[in-house]
Amino acid sequence: MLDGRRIQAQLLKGTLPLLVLATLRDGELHGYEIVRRIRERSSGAFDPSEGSLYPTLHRLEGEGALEASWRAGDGGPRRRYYRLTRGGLAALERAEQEWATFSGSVQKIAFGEAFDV
Amino acid sequence: MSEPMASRVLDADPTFDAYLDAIEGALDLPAAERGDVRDEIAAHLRDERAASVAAGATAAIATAKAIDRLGDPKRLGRELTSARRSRSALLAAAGAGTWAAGGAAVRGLVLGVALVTGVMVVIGVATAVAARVGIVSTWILPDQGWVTAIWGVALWVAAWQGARSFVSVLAIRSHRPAEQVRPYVAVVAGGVVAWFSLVWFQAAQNLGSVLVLALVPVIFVVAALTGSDRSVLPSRAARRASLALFATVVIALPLLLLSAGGSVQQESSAVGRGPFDSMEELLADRGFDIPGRYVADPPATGDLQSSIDHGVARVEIGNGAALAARWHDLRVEAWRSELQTGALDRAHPAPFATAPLTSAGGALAGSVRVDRTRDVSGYWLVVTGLAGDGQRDLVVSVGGTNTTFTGSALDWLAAP
Repeated sequence: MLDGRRIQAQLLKGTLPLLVLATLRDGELHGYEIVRRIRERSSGAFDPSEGSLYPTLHRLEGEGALEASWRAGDGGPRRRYYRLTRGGLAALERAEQEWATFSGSVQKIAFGEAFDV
Repeated sequence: MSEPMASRVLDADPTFDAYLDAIEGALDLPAAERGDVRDEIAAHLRDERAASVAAGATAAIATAKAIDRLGDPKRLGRELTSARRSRSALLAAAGAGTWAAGGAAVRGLVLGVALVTGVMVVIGVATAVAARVGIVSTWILPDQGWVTAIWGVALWVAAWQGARSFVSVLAIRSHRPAEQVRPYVAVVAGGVVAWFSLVWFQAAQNLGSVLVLALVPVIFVVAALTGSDRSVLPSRAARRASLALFATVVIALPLLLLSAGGSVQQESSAVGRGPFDSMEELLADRGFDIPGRYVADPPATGDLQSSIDHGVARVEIGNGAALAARWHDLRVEAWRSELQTGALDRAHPAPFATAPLTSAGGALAGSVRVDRTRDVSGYWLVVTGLAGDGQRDLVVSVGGTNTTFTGSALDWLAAP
């Protein structure tokens, strides 16, 4: 049987790069803040595994979609901040278009013509 | 991107420390990158724990929750390693490593030349002062081995610097620990360096130059096998120092070259210009009875020509028929002669190179290579032939000059 949590986890895993890129569109953030923003913006619906977040961030950085830089914290440890590159912004726009097409198609199949996009 | 390891986060919580140790242990990355990842995750754990404590959780529960959200440390370490690597990054790293090695080698070359030149300048100045006060009579550095020494040290420093830089850049850019890239750099790049040094590079060779060239790949491999994945890119101060050294070399080296003597070019003595009245007298004095029986009534050779081009000495005898009538198995022989006197080197009672004379339109011609035998600094060409009684006669003494072994280091090693 389809388990709601499992479906969400699988969907989240596949869309995590898109969520990260979209979260960083407004400015640079460190890893913990990225998770917090995703959680807040989805009103708690999305709570990405932090164990998946960091590999995703590092992979996106390696692909040139993100740039990272170290900055000293306020009295705390140094933190690694990520920001979108020009290539990352283009990748985000492509991913958004693909997601719109994909989600529209899923809605068509799951809910019929009422959700035509 | 990376910062000094001094800024590494050392979280006081032993639970975090153990967790971070486990992640770091699973990271198959250069040391600096492992430190960076550890710092990043440590900062995350502290933020996560602080948020939980602020929400009312106890420190122990907050710590456990923070760790739980990140999951299995070994899996996280493996996934982070995998995320930081790609095939394209490896290829780019190989290219960057080659480029960095080339740049470091050039800097090393300048450094090496500057080092030896500096020593030479000191010796030259000291000798000049000594000459001024009458301790020695000349201040010129006469030993041409200095040139080999300059290039030797320069090439060795270049090989060392190049290999260290190659390992460092390849490891950092490909996100692999130095231990993983060292063998590849040592074998692949070391093989290329060995090929260039021992086979490709053709020049005048002697024992000193061959030792210099043979040590280049050895030094490269040793440097590669001990290279680290720390950045070896030169600092601003190092770049300034390189410029200063370069300026020293540019100014000092020409001055030294001006003061150094030129290479020795000596033509062996010939009849009429030396102390001998006849060829017979010269040959007897210089030991040319070694090749065979001296012919008291040599035939008219007609037009006799000899030449040397790129180490190949050629003899042409116009009246070939006159020689062929009296001897068979005619051949041109190259004998070692002493550079200073032109006399035959009696320590070697056999020619070092021989070739048959072949007939070409009534003339006889033959050529021998005189720059491919070790330790031959001068040669003398003769034409010999077997007489009817089976004795090999010295038919014509052609002449000779100085020569230098020319080829690759491997040629020199394989040479007779």
